[in-house]
Amino acid sequence: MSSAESTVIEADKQVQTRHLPGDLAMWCFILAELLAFLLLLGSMAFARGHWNEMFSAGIATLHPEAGLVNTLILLTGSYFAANAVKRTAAGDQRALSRGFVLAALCGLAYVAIKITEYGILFGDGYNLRTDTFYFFYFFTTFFHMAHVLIGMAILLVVAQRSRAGHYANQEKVRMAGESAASYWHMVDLVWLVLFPLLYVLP
Amino acid sequence: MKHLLKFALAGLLLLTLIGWWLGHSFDGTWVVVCVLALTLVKGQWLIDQFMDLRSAPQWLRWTVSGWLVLVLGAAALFNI
Repeated sequence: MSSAESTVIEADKQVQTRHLPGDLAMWCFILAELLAFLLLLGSMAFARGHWNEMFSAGIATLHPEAGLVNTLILLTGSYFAANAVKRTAAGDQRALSRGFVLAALCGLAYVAIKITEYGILFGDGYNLRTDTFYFFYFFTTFFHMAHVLIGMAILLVVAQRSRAGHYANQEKVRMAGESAASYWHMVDLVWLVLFPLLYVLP
Repeated sequence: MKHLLKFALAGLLLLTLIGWWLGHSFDGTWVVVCVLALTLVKGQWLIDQFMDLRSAPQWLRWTVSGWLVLVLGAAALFNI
C-alpha cells in the first residue's frame, strides 16, 4: 500500500470516528443563535469603539463584581453540564439529572444577579432609552439572559425526562444530554465574549 | 484524564480572574490585547473541553472557533 493510500484510509477512519455531540437539528439551532449574537456583539464592539467616551461613562455605572461573579457561576454551570454528560456516557444512570439540575441552579443564580443589577440601574434612572450605551447594554444582556432561561428550561426538561425513564435506551439519553449541554455551553461561550466588553476592558 | 474537566474549570476560572485583574489594574492598548487574547484562550478551551468539539466533525469545530475569532476580531478592530 502506497503512503498516499494509507493517508487517505487514515483520514477516512478519522471522519468515521468523529462524533457529533448531540443532535444535528440542535446544532443548526445553536449555529443560528451564534449568527444572531455575532451581529449583535459585532455591532456592540463597533459602537464601543465609535462612542468610546459614552461607553466609558456608561460602563463606570455598571457593577463589575456582578459581572465577574456571573462569569464564574456560568463557567461552573458549564462544568456541571459537561461532567453530567461524561458520567452518563460512562454508565452513571443518575448523573444526567443531578448534573443538569446543578447547572440550572447556576443559571438561576445568574438570572437573580442580573435582575438585581437591572433593578439598581433602573433605580438610578438608567434605561434602554438613556443613550446608545444603555441601549446596547440592556438589549444585549437581556437577549442573552433570555437564552440562559431557555437553556435552563432545556436542561430541566431533559433532567426530568431522564429521571422518569422517558428515553427508550441509553443512546437516547446520551443524545438528549449532549444536545442540551451543547446549547448550555453556547450560552456560556457568548457570555465569555460579552463579559470583557462590558466589565473588563479599560 | 479522569479529572480533565476539573482542570479545565480551574483553568477557566483562573484565566477569568487574571483577565479581571489586568483590566482593572492597568490601562492601555496592551491590556486590551491581553484581555481579548485571554478570552480567545478561554473560549477555545470551552469549545474543546466542555462542548467536546475536539473529536467532532472538523467543519463544526472550525465554525464555532471561527465565530469566536470573528467576534473577538471585531472587538480588537474597533477598540485598539
